[in-house]
Amino acid sequence: MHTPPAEQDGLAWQPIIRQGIAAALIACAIQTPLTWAESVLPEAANLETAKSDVLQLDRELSRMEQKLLFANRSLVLFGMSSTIEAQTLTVKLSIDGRLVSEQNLGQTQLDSLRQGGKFELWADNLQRGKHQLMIELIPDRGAANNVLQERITLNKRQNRHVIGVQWIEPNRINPSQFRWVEWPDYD
Amino acid sequence: MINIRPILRQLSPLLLSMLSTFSLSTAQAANTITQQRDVRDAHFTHALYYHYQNQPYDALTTFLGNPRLELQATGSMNVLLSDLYARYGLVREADAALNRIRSSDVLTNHRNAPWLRYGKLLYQNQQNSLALNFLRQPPQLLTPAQDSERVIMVANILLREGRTDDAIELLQSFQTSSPFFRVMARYNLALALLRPESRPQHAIAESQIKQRRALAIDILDKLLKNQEPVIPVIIQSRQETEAKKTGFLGFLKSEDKTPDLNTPTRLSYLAISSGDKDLEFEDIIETERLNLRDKIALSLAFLRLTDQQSELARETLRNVRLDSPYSNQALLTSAHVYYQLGDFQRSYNFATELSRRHAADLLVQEGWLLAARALEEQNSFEQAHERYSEASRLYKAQAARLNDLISNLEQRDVLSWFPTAQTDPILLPAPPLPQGQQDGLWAQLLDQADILAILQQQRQTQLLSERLIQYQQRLVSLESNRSADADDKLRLADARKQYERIKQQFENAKIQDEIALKSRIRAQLEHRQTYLARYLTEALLGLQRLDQSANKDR
Repeated sequence: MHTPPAEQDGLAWQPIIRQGIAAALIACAIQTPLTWAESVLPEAANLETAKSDVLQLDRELSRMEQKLLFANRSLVLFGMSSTIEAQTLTVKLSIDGRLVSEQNLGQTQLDSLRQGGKFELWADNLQRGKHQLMIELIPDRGAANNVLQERITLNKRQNRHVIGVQWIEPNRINPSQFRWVEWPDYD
Repeated sequence: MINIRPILRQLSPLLLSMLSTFSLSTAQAANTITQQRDVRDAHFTHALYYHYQNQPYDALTTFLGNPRLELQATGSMNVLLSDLYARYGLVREADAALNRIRSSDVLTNHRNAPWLRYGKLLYQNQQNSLALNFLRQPPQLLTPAQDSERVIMVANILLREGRTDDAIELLQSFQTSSPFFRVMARYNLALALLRPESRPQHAIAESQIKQRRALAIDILDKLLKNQEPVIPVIIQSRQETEAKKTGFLGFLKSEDKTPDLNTPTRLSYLAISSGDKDLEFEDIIETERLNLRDKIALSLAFLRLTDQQSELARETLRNVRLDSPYSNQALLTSAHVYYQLGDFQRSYNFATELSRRHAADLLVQEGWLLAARALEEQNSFEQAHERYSEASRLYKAQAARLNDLISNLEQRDVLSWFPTAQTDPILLPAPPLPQGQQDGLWAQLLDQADILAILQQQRQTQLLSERLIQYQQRLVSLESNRSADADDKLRLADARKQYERIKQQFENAKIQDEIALKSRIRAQLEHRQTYLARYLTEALLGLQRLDQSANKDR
């Protein structure tokens, strides 16, 4: 004859809901604090100062590099207007007939550009004076007749400057595909 | 991610003219370069690119790497900066950038996102007093959705601090045009009603405790039926109480002038008073709404079960979806409810459904035992014997995995299970689960908020340490530069000292975090061992019972 578990001795059988994991976890669901172990556990590190110091170091190194390594830096940023449709884009930049940068951009990069961001196409020291810049775009790995190109003469007057090249929709009044802007860069 | 598009509209006129002339130029020749003076705009769009690329650390360092941009940032630029600092977890810096926005010409509604992000940072860092002081003074044009989030955070902080009555006072009259946040606030109110108050002067009588519990059950019940619960005044507001004591003039003279936490912001008030009560916010996704409903059902079932109302509890549990994150809890509770009701067949059905799920879950392990138990109660001894045997084998296998992991923890760094791919130190995706027999255990461990938080901090330290190697290379390159003058050399020496100090801080943090993380994991695993041992004993006792009965029958 089998004796029902509840009537037996040994490890007292009680509904597990009162003492088992279900009770603990459901109580957790109604946010009853369970502090069975946490109070005595060692604390994690507070990294706020170290994280702030890393940024300070990065900042200091950038400024020292600008002073000591890139005293004549030209930074070329590339952007595009939000209405231009392209899935992929190859951007090439030549300075004085020499190809200095070639970048292949995918959908996520192009989306960032459409939202107003500009990416670094090239940055290095460039002597003052006149230079020939050529931008070349190949949208959607298109055919040769789909390549957009423009040459421009730059007369660099400052030690450091930023050049912005923006790919835009041409219109009847302004047939150019590009807009060029120059900013002097100083501390 | 904050939406910068509206902010772009506010950028300095120079950038605006530049952007607009890009597409609408009427006079510029195509082959000339336009001269602009304010280089901040150029550097800002450069930082924006990284921001949109979801590379917040690069956005931050690009921003800070340009002195003019950092030191003379416009209000709109500070919106991005404050947001980036908050995501990086730097409270002081985010606060400073936020203060600069306040004194700028940024439209009020553009200040809201960084304001709320900063509030969330304080809230998540558990800086309760700071967070409370900050969140109780919202910008007047906070949107109803943002204001709802604010109130929920404030109530949670009050509960964290044991100020249950204050949380109840806040939530009892909270109004919002969002059905989701309304339900969440009512749910939180029900939970607050069940929580004891930590301040002795707010202690309440046993009868009041019962009243509050009954009200909590009523609120949860109504929410589950999609009805709007009627919330009586549970706590008199401080202003009313003071006014009663001292008269209205007395209250006006009183020194305590902290703002009423529940004063809705102007837009919230307009949304509520316009009668547009059911205006759901775009950000609320259906899953969140359904999960909240599952939690309500589970909490209500638990209360009913502890009130010995098994039948009602059973009905309530039917509201939890089978694919919900809470479904294991619901299945096990259902199995227990039917067991209590003496319906062993149904108890077995629920426990069996549960036992098909991942065996690393303690709930599932308990399900195995309960299924065997229900069979035993139905006198299906042979099947029960088989079930107990299977359960004990499963418990032994799980115990072996637990022991393996505990012993591995002695020999390995936790981070070695979670290699960090090349990624941004601010943008830390959830750690991928280690593949293998212990994946279920890891999944359960990472469900613990404190374990996940420390692991993520370790991963961030690791990524920052990798960046530090690059900084070291840059430093060496600068130190070898021959054009450096005495002043430069002094600055480089300072940078070198700073580099060494940071390196040491990271090394110390790594050791401290490893100890903190392992102790929490070990505590969890030992907790599981205790339960497994209990289940195994129960299963073996079950087998013993069945064997003894079989012997007697012979």
